[in-house]
Amino acid sequence: MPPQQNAAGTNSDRYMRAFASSLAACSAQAQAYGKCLSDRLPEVEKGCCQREFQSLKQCFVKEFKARKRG
Amino acid sequence: MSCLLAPTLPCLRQSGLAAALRIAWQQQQQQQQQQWLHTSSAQQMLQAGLENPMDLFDRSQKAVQRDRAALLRRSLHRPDPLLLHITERLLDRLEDCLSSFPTAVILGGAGEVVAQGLAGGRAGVQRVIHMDTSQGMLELAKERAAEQQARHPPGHVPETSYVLADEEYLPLADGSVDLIVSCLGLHWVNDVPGTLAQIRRALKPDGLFLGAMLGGQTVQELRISCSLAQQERQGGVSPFVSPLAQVRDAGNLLTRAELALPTVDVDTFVMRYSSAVSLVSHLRLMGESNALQVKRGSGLSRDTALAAAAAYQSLYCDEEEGDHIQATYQVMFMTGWSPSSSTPKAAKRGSATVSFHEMAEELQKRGAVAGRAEGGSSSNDSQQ
Repeated sequence: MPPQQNAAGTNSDRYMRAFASSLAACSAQAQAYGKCLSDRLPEVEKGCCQREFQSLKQCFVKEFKARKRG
Repeated sequence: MSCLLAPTLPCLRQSGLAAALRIAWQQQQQQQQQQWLHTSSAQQMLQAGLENPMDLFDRSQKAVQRDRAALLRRSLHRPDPLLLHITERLLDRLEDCLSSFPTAVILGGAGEVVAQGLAGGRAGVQRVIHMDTSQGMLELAKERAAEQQARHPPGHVPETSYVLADEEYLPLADGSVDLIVSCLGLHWVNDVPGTLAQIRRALKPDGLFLGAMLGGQTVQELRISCSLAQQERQGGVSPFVSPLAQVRDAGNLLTRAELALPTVDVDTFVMRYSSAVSLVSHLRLMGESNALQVKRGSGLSRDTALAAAAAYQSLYCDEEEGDHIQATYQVMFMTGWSPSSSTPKAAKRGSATVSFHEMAEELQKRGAVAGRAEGGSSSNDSQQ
């Protein structure tokens, strides 16, 4: 089946672009999360950076909803 | 074409005993496979809908991914720069060969770029057989060849036949082709030693095999970021980046396939991307998306994907442009010749007539500078 498409490109292209720009808009939270992980290397446990991830996710979801249309 | 297809009927010259032994062995293998299939682990895998539980990669999924990659590449007006670079480095080895190769086979990978590189009578190529598991890639290659032919005088592009075939089951008769090129195709093959053995058998004596494979360090950053994110989000790790051969394995693969004069050299490229998402898009365009058989769930969950992208962004940011990321590509270039009576053998120990010291002096006299590469400016200028 050919990929679904509209004027702005295929659905997956638009999703990827929205994902990338939302992540770029939340770069501070992303850096914090990455720093948390690298501080705990090599013993990374489940949920050890939960707080940083939650703030990243909140920022990301907000940005993504704004961008999903365009 | 029919003369190149392997005979399907058993060879009539075999004695009845040999044929009976072969049939008995096949039956025993089938019986063992049936017994194994009844075990619980195999049943689980079969119920999960896997094609052949013993294979690492899902070849049919890879063909579908390559169809999509062909669609993506069709909209580009020029070949992808990384693929072009790797292909040129691979085909450059043809310039070191004195022999010419009238019949060449292109096996999967960056096929249409290789085909463009072999045009114009390079290395004496007159006929090309282009094989791929993906129909889309063959169509793309046909289109590119037609475009190239339109821009040059007739006869520039060698006569090409397109075959839908799997690298693991080569439909080539023994000793039928002079050159086989596989540029970035072999790292998705389940049985690489078997494929190389088939390649060696299909080559005429003194035929050449050129291969480029992605090595173990490729997208190591992606591997690590995915593992870290999975460990933190889900508490466990499952593979999202396929296992790749190590450089030390490449030499073994060539000698095991009995290819003579094997050489392996490694090039490492570090590419800069604006984000992890553009890296994944590029991999998809090159047909390098994940095709592992064993996958938990249906891929990365959204949380884990977000965590992995964020981890990548912060752990592997580029030195020059801080908001970009780096990705490593390690490409192993392999060459091997099919053995013949005229293959040079290794010299006997103690038969050397020149010492390394004398050779180094001679090279220095002719303008090479010991140590650094940029030192020999005077000789380079005279060559230009």
